[in-house]
This record gives sequence, structure tokens and C-alpha cells, in this order.
Amino acid sequence: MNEILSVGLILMAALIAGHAAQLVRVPEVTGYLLVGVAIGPAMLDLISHDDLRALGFLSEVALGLILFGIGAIFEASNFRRVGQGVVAITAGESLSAFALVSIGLFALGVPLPVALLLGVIAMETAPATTLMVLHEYDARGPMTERLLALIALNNMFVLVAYGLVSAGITLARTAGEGLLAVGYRAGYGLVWSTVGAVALGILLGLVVDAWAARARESGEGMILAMGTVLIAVGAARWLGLSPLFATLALGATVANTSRHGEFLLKALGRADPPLYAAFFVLAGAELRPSSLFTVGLAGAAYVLLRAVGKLAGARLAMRGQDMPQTVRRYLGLCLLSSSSLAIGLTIQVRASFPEYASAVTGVALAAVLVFEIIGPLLARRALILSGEAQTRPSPLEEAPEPSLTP
Amino acid sequence: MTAAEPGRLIHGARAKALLALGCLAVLALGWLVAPRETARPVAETVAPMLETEVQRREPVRIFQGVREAALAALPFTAAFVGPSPARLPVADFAAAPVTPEAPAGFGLVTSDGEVLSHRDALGGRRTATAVLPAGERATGEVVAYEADSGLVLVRVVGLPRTGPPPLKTVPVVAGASVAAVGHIDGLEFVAPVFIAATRGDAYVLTGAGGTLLPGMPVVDLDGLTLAITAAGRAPVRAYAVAPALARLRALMAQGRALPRTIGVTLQALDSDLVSLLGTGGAVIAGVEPAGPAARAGLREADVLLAVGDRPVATLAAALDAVAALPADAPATLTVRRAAREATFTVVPQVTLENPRAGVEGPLGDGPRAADVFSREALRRARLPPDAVVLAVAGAPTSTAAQAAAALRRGRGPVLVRARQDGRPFLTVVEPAG
Repeated sequence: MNEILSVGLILMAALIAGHAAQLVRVPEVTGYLLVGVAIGPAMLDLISHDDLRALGFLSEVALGLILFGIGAIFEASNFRRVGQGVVAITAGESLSAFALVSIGLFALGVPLPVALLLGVIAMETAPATTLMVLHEYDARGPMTERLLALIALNNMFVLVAYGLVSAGITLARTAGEGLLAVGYRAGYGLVWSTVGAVALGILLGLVVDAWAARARESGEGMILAMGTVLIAVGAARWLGLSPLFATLALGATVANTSRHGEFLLKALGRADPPLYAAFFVLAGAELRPSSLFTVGLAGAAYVLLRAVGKLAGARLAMRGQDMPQTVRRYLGLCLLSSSSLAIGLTIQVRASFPEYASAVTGVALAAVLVFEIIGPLLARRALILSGEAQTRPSPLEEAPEPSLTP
Repeated sequence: MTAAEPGRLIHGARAKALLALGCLAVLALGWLVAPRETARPVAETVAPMLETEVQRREPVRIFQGVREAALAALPFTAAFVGPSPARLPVADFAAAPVTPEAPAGFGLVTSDGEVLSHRDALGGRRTATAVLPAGERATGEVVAYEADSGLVLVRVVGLPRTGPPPLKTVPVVAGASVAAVGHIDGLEFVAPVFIAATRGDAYVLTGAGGTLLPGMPVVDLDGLTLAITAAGRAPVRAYAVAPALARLRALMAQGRALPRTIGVTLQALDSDLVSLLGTGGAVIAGVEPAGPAARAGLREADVLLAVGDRPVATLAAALDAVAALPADAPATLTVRRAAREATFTVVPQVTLENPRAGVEGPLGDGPRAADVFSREALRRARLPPDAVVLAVAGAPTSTAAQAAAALRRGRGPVLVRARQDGRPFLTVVEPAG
């Protein structure tokens, strides 16, 4: 099947899945993922491995747009209001997930490097999935506000933690000979991929700022924003930087320097729905239901420990903070989705540590399948229970409101 | 959206310009201090040498899939060199490059206790030593050779019959991801490559960053063996296994499994050569030093008229007649030399070179044709200016002065022996004026 037909099929499948999801009252993103599994190589194979490879760039573009939007959360005055508390919660939930998963799996006999790598992957909360649920239910309120900032911080934590763990494993592996060179290489990789990406994002953000004043129509704004996000993702890949950090920094820079940030986000929002739908159907097509039957005890332990770590860590970190009771009670439930970054990290593990790849990939991808299905359901539940969900038509019928702050 | 509020973090053109400069400086610094690749121990560099751009560019899962499939094919893979076990450079294989003097390569163990490989793995020799998958060594002899592809079938004494390797029987399309595999002393070589093009039963492999060794089995993602490589840097040719085995067995059945050579390069006679040398079939343009023809007394510019009882009127007929001679048995060649017919007795040898590719070996050196002949003479003789002039009118020429002297001695058209691109040939030159 050629790529154009595949994209058409994906969008139509998403349309049907979105309506079906509304009928059975599950988040649309769950519908997209499940229809992705159905038409993907795991089942009907309407979207083959080759199609997935060819369309991989769509997922990268969609993720770049999502992170651009999330980056705008870091607008200074907004972040000052929720910032400190959010940093503490992010540290609490991600570090406790890391600690519980790593220690628990190591105690079960999983090799230490594998346990550490899985611990890092367990830290991640999926930005796209969570944001999609927030959009679908038009969530507003103190929890939503914190959640958006939390996701952005969480993903930054994960990337730094992965850099540290992989540097540690590399150093331990090369004990003795050439330690300095290996250490330099590992340290450089970590610093360059994060600091360099932020520099790239800021630089592009300043370009947007300089140009935005000229953009009068929303079409022009869309071209400007879309073009810069694509350049940020593409240039980051070319330079070996983290596209995630680059697009986050781009969004944050636009929000903090330009008077036209809101205009650009609104303009960009019009292009989102088809891209997001394609993103989730493709993400679903990558999932392997059969992997659930092969991961065994380690997989079950991973799922359980990650869930406990995220929920308990978030709750502990919120203790003593001044925030509404609903946030305390339900925020943790919104943190369980896990997708693109986790999958991205398994690909990195395969490149950097092929000896651990099969163990890490097997567990991580099976867990992504579980959390991608239950994560949105739990997030929906939390939004309804906390009273932050407003009912709204499907994002496919109306562009999601790009305004990310209430 | 608070982005429009005056409380923005950064405002003012000056602050933004400074920030932009700072970011540029960070990116430039990062670029400058990037760690450079340094030399690593040989053991670490051999396998990556055979790995490829594919691994760096493409999703790693392709590499992993091909690698797993390739490892499954290892039980059918043998490592080779010739001619004797003593020269097997296994221990220092990683350090010593493969050269014509120290050939090495791999092969595929077939179900009939034979090994399918490539002549370059054996350095053109007929005997071979194979290192079998379990580490044991066995020696054997080439029993069939296909000149066009260079594939050889080696019968190895004491080779365990492993059962048939899983062979790919359906054609493979261009663009498929495959891997060339081999192993020596526990070192596994897996080189992921793409099939860039297919030509009948031959494939063109590309994407290998390093050099592929000859005779490497090529395995697809399903672990099925589909081809055997020739040697060289990518793009490299590979030949489909199943048809190649069928062709080699057919050659054996026809008694033509081992081509013969008499150690000459034959050339078709053009009209100039015919008028100078007389009519006939093919002319000997080069004689391999110490080869069967040289030992029998044949010389350059002898025109081959008959091989045994078979008269040869064309170059193709001459090549076929020579290839059909029985090995190691005397045969009579009839040639015309200096307007007289003469017969010579040669004993053909088995060759693992392509007998149609001409002779190899030292051919001497000489002046450039452009330094000896006028431009007009070169044009009329269709002699490339860069050709090396080896002999003029029968006299060897190592300098331009010798060639000029020989040219003055011979009046009218003279026979010139020259070399272009490593191949000797004869031509007739009419000195200008």
C-alpha cells in the first residue's frame, strides 16, 4: 500500500474510532490506539511495517507540535504561580517510579543495567495522550494547570535521567581502559543533547518572535509556527540533539518573548486534529498485543511497581503543599499514560546497549500497551471526579482549543 | 493566554539579540568540543567494519532482525582459506587484511557434504581448508567452478552432513534488507546490506561500510540463505544459491566442471592483422610466463588455426575449443607463424581464473604509445595514446628510443604489441610518411 493511501486509511479509521469511543464513553485516544492495533501489523496488517517506517515522520511532527504547545506552559508568570509545587510533584512521582521499578526488578533477579534502564522508562508520562484527553474533555482547573507543566517537566527529567543512567552503564562496562575518553563521550552526549537542544529552541523561538509581528492572518501564523516546529525537530535530529527539548524550548521562548504567542498557538491548533489522530493510530499500530503473553513476571512487576510508584510518589510530594483537595486526590491518576518517549527510549537502548535490548524492549513495550489503554481511561475518570472536565464535541469536529492555560 | 501580558520574561531587542548570540555560541561550542572518534582495539573494529551505514541510519530493529536471522544461518557457514591449513590466518585474521597472497573468505555448507564458495576465497587455488562451524578443520578440493560468477564447489573430506540449509527459493526484490554472514574462531561477522538491484540470478548488494569477504552466505530476515557473495567493496555481486548449485552440478554432469587453460590471451583478428599475419582464427596476444603455452614454445602473434582436430575460424570457436580440452593430457595446437604453419604440444591445466578474461601476470613495461607514434598513426591503428607499447615488429621495447628504432627498421605496416587496462593486445601500425 502506498503512503498516501495509508494516511487516508488511518484518518478514516480514526474518524470511525473516535465516534465509537464516544458511544462507549471511553476517551477518543483509546479508540484511536485500539483501531491502530487492529489495522496495524499485529492484526489486519492494513498498515504494514514498511508503512509504519515510512510514516514515522508524521509521529515526530505531531509530537513536536504537542511539545511546542506544552512548552508555552513555561510562560514565566504562569510558571511562577504553579511552578515550585509542580517541580516537587514531578520529582516525587518520577523518582519514586524509577526507584520502585529499578529496585523491585533487580530484587526479582533482573540484571542491574536492565533494571535501571526500565526504571528510567517507567518515569515517563505520555505528553500526547494526556494532552489529548485534556483537550477532549476541555479540562480546566487547578489540576489541569499543574498537569500540563508537570508533563513537560517529567519528560525533561526522563531524558536527563536516561542520559545519566546510560553514561553510568557505559562507564561501568569500560572499567579501566580509556575511562576518560568514554566518560567524556558519555558526558558530552548528555550535555549536548539537552543544553544544545535548548539553545536551538530558543534561537528558533527568537526567529518566530521577530517574524510574528508581520504575520497578520492565521494562515500565515500557521505556516510560521509549523515551519519552525518542523525545523526544530529536523535540525535537532541532524545535530544529534533532543527534538523534545528543542520543541519545548521553542514553545517556552515564544511564550516568554513574543506578544503573538497566543495567536500562533491558535493558528497552529487548526492543523492539529488530523495530525494527532494519525499520531495515535500509528502509535497503536506499533503496539504488539502478543507481547503481553511473553513478558512474564518481570512485565507484571513493572506495571504494578510503576503504577504504585507514580501514584504514591505524587501523593507524597503533594503532602504539605497548599493546593485543592481534588488535585491531591486525583492528579496521580492522570500520570499513568506512557507512550512515545518510552518507545523512543527503547529504540535508543537498542542502539546503545544491544545486549540488554531484548529484555528492556520486551517489558517496556508490553507495559506501554497496558498503560496506553488504561492511562487515558484513568485520566478521564480523574477529570470527571475532580470536576475539571467540561463536555465538548469531538476534537475531530472542532479544532482543540490551543489555549493551554485556563 | 498570558503570553500577551507585559510581564514577559524577555523583552527589548537588545536582550533578545544577546540571547540569540548566547545560543549560537552554545551551539558552536558544542560542535567544536564534540568527541572525535579515536582508535579502538582491533577486536572492536573488525565487526563494525563489516557493519554498515544501514545500522546508523535505519531503525535498529532491521539490523537486529537481520542479525538474529543471520546467526541462525551460522551452522551452515564455513570459513576458508587455501591452500594449506598451516597458512590459515585465523588467529590474526582481524589484524591481517585479506590479500591475494593471503586469501580468506567464507562458504556455505551444503547438504551433500560440499561447500559453496568463491574462487577469491581460495586465491585461485584448487585446494582448500575449511574451518567448520564447530571449530574443526578439514581439507578439500574444488570439484566444480563457474567462470562467469567465480563460484566454486569444494568437496571437503570428512564434512558432516548437516542437513540442507534453509534456502530461499522465491526471487528477492530489490530494496530488501539482508545480511552477509560468516564466522571465524568465535568471531561472528554480520554485515547488513541492501539488495540494490537484481539481474537474473545475480544480486547487487550495497550499503556495506567495509569490505565483504568472498563466499559469504547472504541471509534474509526470515533466516533463509539466498546468495553467496563475490569479493570487494560495496556494491558487491552475489549469486543466488539454488540456481548456482544447479548450474555447478550440471557442469559436473557434462564433464565441464573444471575449465582448462593453456595460458594465453587470445584476440580476434581484424582486417589489418589479417593482411599482416595471414588468414586464420584467433591470434595469441599474450603468453602467460611459465604457463603451458610458454613451455610448449608458443609466442605472441602466433595465429591459432586448429586445436587438436578442430579447426578454429573465430575467436569464440578458439576459446570453446581450448576450454573443451581434457585436463593434464597433451593436445596439439596448429599455428601460423611467419607465413608458415607449425604444431606445438601443450598440456592444459585446470584454472580457477576466468579463461575468457585473459592472462594475468607480469607483462613487462614500455613507453606510452603517444610517445612512440604520430597522432595520425595512432588514429589509423585505433591505438589509445595511453596504451603501453610492449613490442614493435617482434622486438621488445622498454623505452621510446627502442620503439622508434624498431619502427625505423621495419618498413611499411608493423605489428605492435601493446597493453591497455592490464590486457595485452596486438595491432598493426602504419608509420606516418
